[in-house]
Amino acid sequence: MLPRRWLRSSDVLPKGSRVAALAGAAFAAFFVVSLAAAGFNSTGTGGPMSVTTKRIFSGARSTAPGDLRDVSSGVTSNKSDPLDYDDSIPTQTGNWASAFSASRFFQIDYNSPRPAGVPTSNVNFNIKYASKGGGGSGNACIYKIEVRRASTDSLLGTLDHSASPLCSTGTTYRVVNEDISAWITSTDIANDLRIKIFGYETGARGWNIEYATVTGTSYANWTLFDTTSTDQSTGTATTSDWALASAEGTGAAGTVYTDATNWPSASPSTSKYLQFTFDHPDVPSGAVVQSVTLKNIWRDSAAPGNGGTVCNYFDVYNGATLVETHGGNTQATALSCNSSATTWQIDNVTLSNVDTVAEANSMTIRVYYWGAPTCGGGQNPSCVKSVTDQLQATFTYYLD
Amino acid sequence: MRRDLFHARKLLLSIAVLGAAASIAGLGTFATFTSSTSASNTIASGTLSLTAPFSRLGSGASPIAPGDTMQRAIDLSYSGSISFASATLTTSATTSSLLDTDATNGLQIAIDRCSVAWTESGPPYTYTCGGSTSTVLASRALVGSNIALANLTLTAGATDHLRVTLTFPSGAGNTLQNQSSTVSYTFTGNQRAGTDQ
Repeated sequence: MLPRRWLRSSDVLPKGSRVAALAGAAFAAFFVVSLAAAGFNSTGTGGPMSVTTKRIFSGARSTAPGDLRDVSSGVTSNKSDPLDYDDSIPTQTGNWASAFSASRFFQIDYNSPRPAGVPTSNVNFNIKYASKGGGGSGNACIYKIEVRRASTDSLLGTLDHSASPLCSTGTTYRVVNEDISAWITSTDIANDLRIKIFGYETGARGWNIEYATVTGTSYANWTLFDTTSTDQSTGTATTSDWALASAEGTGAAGTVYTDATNWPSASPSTSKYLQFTFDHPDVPSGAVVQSVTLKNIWRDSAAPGNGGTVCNYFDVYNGATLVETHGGNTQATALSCNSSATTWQIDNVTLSNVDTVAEANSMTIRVYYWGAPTCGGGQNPSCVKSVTDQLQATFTYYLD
Repeated sequence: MRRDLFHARKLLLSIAVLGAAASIAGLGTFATFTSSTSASNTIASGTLSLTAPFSRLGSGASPIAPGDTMQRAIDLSYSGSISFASATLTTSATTSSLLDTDATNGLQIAIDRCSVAWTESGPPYTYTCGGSTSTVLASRALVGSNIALANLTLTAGATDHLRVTLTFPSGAGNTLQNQSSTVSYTFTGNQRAGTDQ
């Protein structure tokens, strides 16, 4: 038997009682401390409230048309951006080396029509190319492709095919679709994209590039078109702008589009016009189109003289359906007139009837020009062409 | 052995009694309420009750854009017998996004009180005050704990008519597109200080 002072609780109480005693002591201590620290309080609750933001905030997204048809003569001529479409109008490069050279490439900067801050997926660089042919020609080969930011030229990633270059068979086109989703993760990057193709032609000849686009998805499938390309296949850079993409204001060759034929005299002809198709605004289904505006920056190819001027009006089509017309077919009612070969006329027009996704995504503009009040012959003003520096549509929309 | 057990139980019982006495003493020392032992007086504690008999805070909003505001009314009723000294608001996001984590460009909250019930229209809900208004909470980031509220009546039996305004800042950028948050609101009223009774 233990002395009394060494008596343990286990000697006198069963285990359950010991646990209860400890719990009671702990509760007593907690109760005292809690009440010592706080007075009464009471709570009322509200909610829960769920708040969700729009998928795409309202904003203006601009793009130039890639598809241009010159019907100034009355006969349609395809003058579209040769890098945009599989239309048998290829871009032709200079002569490459017969093997890879780090100083020889073909570089494309793309347009920026996407709403910012939207995640992207399924982003691909798509190119169709072949040897241009000719004596001694061989195969067009892609050695590597670099994906870069256009604004900084910083490298995002490289598709390295050096071990097994992607070669056409002679002049037979090869189609390559490269997944670049790993680097193009948002529309912020897609809107600032440069693709740099390093290649060669085994016979040291040129390439035909039928198209070179970037496609992806962010609420809608979209396609990016080139704005500027740099052909350094020869080792020396030659830069080409898509004529309609930006307003350089210089009138320099390659930065403007001059129509093929002088415009008619005295009144417009409904069979003579320039046709621009905006086939890739890629406004997502369900979006609310708030406004669409069209900007046309143009001038005369030469001053008509003798009090003459060039006037225009335009029609807006959704496919084959006429949506709206801006300006009339007389000098007094024309949308605008310009008698100068140096001063640019800037027409900014709101297309109020283009207010659905379908109309925005399939918008065709026909601009009719004519010499006013008359032109050609005797002492009359000269009949002239028009020079277009920029044609751009701006789509303002949001997506809930 | 039986004698030792008897002494041990007595010892534990004594400790328990002393503990209980200490607890009661502690209560008398620190607690807000006191009581008297006068045989002729009946002392009863009051009740403290804050409820929200009317609330639009459960009405969500979707989809919102920068510059949007959301007004929701809630009535706070002090239905107990004791007035409050102060009130606080705790907001928490059960579903979180940049809307509640971006303190600058996420949702901002402000609360106004109307001296009479707000006149409601909508949805979307908007409110006008037929009496006088006062600021209960100046605009601040939505989520926070124990946010002090001002200019409340807090008087037992009274009701405060509040309008909660959430604002999505117009400067919010595209990173806040397609965000979703669910927020709960807890208003807590704290008892007035103890006084002589």
